[in-house]
Amino acid sequence: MKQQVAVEPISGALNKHKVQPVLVLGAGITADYAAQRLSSAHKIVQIKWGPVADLPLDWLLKQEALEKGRIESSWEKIKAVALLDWSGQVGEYILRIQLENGEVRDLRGKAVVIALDALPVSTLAWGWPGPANSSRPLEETITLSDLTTRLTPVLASSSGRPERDGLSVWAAGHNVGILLGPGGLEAAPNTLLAIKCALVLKQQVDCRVGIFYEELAVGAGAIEALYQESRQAGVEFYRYTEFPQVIEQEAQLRIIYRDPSLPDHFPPWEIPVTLIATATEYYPSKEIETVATLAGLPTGPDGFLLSDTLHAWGGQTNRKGIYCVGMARGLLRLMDLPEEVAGVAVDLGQGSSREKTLLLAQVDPLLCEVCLTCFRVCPHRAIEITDCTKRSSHGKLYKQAAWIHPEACQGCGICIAECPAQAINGADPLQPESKLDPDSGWHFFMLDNGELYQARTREDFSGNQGPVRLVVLACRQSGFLAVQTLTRLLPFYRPQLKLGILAEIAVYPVACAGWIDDLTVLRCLEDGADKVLICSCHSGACQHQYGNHRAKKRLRLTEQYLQEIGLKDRLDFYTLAGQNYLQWLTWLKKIINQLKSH
Amino acid sequence: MIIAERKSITDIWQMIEPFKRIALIGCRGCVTVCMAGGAKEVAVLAAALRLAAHERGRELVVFEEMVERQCEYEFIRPLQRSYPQEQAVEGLVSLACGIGVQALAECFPHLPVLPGLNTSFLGMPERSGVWVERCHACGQCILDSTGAICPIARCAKNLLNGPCGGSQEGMCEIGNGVECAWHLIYERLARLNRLDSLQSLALPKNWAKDRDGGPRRLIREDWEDEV
Amino acid sequence: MKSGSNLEKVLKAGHFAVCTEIGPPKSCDAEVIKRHSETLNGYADAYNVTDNQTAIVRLSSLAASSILVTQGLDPVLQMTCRDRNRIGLQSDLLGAAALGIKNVLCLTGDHQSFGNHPEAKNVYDLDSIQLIHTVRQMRDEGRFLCGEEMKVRPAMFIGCVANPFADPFEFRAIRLEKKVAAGADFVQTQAILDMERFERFMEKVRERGLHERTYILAGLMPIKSARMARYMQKNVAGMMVSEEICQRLEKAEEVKAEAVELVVEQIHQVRQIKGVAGVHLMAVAWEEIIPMIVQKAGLYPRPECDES
Repeated sequence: MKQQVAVEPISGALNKHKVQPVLVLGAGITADYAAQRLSSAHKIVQIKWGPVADLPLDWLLKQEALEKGRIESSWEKIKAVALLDWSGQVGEYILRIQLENGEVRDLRGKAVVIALDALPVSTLAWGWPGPANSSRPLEETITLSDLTTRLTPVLASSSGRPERDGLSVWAAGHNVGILLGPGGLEAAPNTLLAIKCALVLKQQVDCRVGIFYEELAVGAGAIEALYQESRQAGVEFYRYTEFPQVIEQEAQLRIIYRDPSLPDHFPPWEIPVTLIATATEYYPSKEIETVATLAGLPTGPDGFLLSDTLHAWGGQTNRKGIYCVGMARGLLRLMDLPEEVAGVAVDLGQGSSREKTLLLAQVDPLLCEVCLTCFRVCPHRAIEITDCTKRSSHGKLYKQAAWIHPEACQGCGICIAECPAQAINGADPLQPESKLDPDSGWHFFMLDNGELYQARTREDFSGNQGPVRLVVLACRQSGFLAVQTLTRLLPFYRPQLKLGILAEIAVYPVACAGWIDDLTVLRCLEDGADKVLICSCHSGACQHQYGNHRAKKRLRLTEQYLQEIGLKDRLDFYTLAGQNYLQWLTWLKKIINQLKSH
Repeated sequence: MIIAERKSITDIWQMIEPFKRIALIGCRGCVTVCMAGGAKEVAVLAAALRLAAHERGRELVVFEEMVERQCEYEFIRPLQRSYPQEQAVEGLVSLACGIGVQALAECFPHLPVLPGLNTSFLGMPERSGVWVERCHACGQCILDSTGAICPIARCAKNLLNGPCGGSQEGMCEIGNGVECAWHLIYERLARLNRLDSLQSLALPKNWAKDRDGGPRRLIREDWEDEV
Repeated sequence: MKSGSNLEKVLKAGHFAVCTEIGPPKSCDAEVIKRHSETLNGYADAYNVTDNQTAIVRLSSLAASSILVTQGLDPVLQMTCRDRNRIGLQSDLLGAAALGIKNVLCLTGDHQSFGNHPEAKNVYDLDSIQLIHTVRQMRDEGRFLCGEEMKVRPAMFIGCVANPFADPFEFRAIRLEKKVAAGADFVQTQAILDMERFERFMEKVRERGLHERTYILAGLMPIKSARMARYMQKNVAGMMVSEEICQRLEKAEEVKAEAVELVVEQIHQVRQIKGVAGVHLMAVAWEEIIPMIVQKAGLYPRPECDES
């Protein structure tokens, strides 16, 4: 009944719809970059919608990253005023947009790349700049981006000679103050721009340049070297804890700066400047919220898409065929744009770069009660409610049933655990025939002397030896990786060892801890396990968003009624990362010792 | 939909104390959807009871059965064939709503039938795993005058003339995160520009159509006197 | 005269009325009621007798009111809809009239989950407005709710409550209008511990002309301790306690004296508000303070009203 289903690589789904374009969503620099890079191999339809960031990509990215992918085979641009709906699945997504003239249009694409810029908010938002003692608008201010535009010719020309002369005229005699807003790592692009500008101004024109910052993100994107260079060149750095004020005195601008390392009674410094450059802050736009809601993508605590999702690398999202690159994930990600777009290109072209899933869930339409539990819980939005008579040969018993899109399914098995009708099947690692399959399970003995050995053959491991029996259900992303490492370190068991077996431990991999339900645990206990151990990824590190979290909450309930029926301490939960095999071993030994002493 | 929750295993264990062979009968209707009496819950309860029996060294055989809808004789009758002799099992535990328990009992006149669930209310899921009461089956719907929000089911005092003095910031005085139904009604009618309908006096309700009129029976006229 | 109760006479004569409250004991000790009635006798025009307040079982409101009648006091029989259906309510109303009780205050009643029998089944066959409607129909039309006629009509002065501090605020005046339309002759408000909100409420009341159709008695409550004020501010549904009151009690050296002072001030304040016909003083578990408050507010002695 339960069978493993081969998974078609994602490229299969994409190739079937080769004629369809890739939709790139965004109007700004992120989208332009992504569209251009992907246009070398795919037909591109760029939906120009959302904010435009005022950041010079050529200053932020390496030159070689910019030069790649110059071929523009087909790059259509459509300006949209609203995104109304988002339907379909990998292979064919349908985005309903509204055009400027009010017309509503459906755009189809085999994949969608979300490349929205973040919303630029000028530092004016804090009531700055503007001299505190004067109401006149400040002419001597410039944004950091405008400053880069002024300086770009210098950077671009190798000799630098003619343009530098123009620059010299403009910049000569300037005392430049660059004001970075509060914030740390997220402001890395601003830090990079500020340092690069300061270097050019210092080295090429010999201006006096000071950078005012709260936290300098020198750790990000290899800014460290540039930072050192600029210090040596004589750029001044001022760390503040309260944002500096600007005043005007005798037609001279002064930045009032308080050195946080000095006691409070020290008067603040007054630094005269002739030009002030300010950085722009970036926030998640309302378009990001719309996309998150319509496409079913999670947002992080800062409001950016998938910003805190560890597994969303290479532009991937929780949904197959939907990618998210650059600033839609936060300002810092802009500097990873080339890598992310390259990841998308690989995924689109050569099949998923992600490990193939082993478990694929399938709904038996005859058992499905259309309770919508799976539909609501699927972290990948892979489940649709369809008219099952189209798909079933059993006649029309139900009008509708859940159907799992085989290409969108990422095989976590959360739906299998949640289905109250037991209508969803997937590979079951507890089947007897797969017990000694090295791909699906590892078996260990702990001998009386406390040493751990692995079983070599099925005969070795009868499943009924030793006073303590453990079943470990380990997530493939964490616990099972740790156990796999151990198998390379542990010797094989030989009966000649002539030592009694204290415990036998069967370790089964699960696609995600979210696959484990109360029934699995109860079945293991019924089969004679003294204790069931669940190993999952750390909180927040689940590849399937919340599989580990759901498992934990679900099994807390299981523990409660195990206690009710008089079974105490028969279930334990351990969170670890794949490399924590030694900690895991210590934990395992502790548990066996506890069980032994009972 | 009928919303129910499983009784505690301790309660069920006490009910089945006298029996050595029982069958758990689930239902594929409402209680599957509200995660109380579907195939999964039947399997889990069966496994738990077997484990409990094993732990206590007690002999207990647990059969598992699913019925399409336990509130229909026709769906239950095939079960009679599965358990033709009463000695096959000593008791049935129904994992259906109270209706299912009684229908099952009517089909098995000589077997003890026990409820495995507490039938809670008529409601709907607010989201996965959270159900809320929406209808009280009072037999005389007044939703037309209350902005399609039911004060009988959703006001702790089933008031008919507006919120009592315990309504504050949209919440009911009984707490537990219960929203004041009348506050919701007020807001909805205000939105629909229909607040005037709250000005008139709602006269005492005819509760005879509720359960207070005795057990209710509904007959479609064209089926009256049919066999 | 609808009922001839002392309260009705005082209000009709245009005096600024004073009501207070007597909570029956959690036992069958009639002496407790008598003691309270002796302490308070002469300091109010009518005395509310609470009906299993906060859903805690107490000596019945009807019996306690009857004892007050024998003591020569004018009781206001509180009736909640929580514990009796329309049969019980009408029956008790007839009984009350037969025992010489002339005022009735119709309430919905606190939910039983607050009380000492949270597992009880509640009734709420009628709501407070329907109860007002029922009493008025019995008194004015001589008919039971079902329409059947009765020979002797219960002469009752019908009261209701209003809570300006519950939400939605905009609806509170509408609700009061419904009560007045249903037959409420007088209104007692929830304890006013936020004067500003009460004034806004009265504005709405005057807009609807309700102060001309019913007598509005402002509910006031002396609070014994600052802690209690804070507790009510945070935890009691349907109550609002202004920051000023909390702080004054917190800063006061003599908290009880300050509490009295506060109430006296409030009495003077509400007298200035157009449409307020009197006060209702609720001193929960502090009944003995009422005489002092009434005296200090210059409301003592109470007027004697002849039969007219």
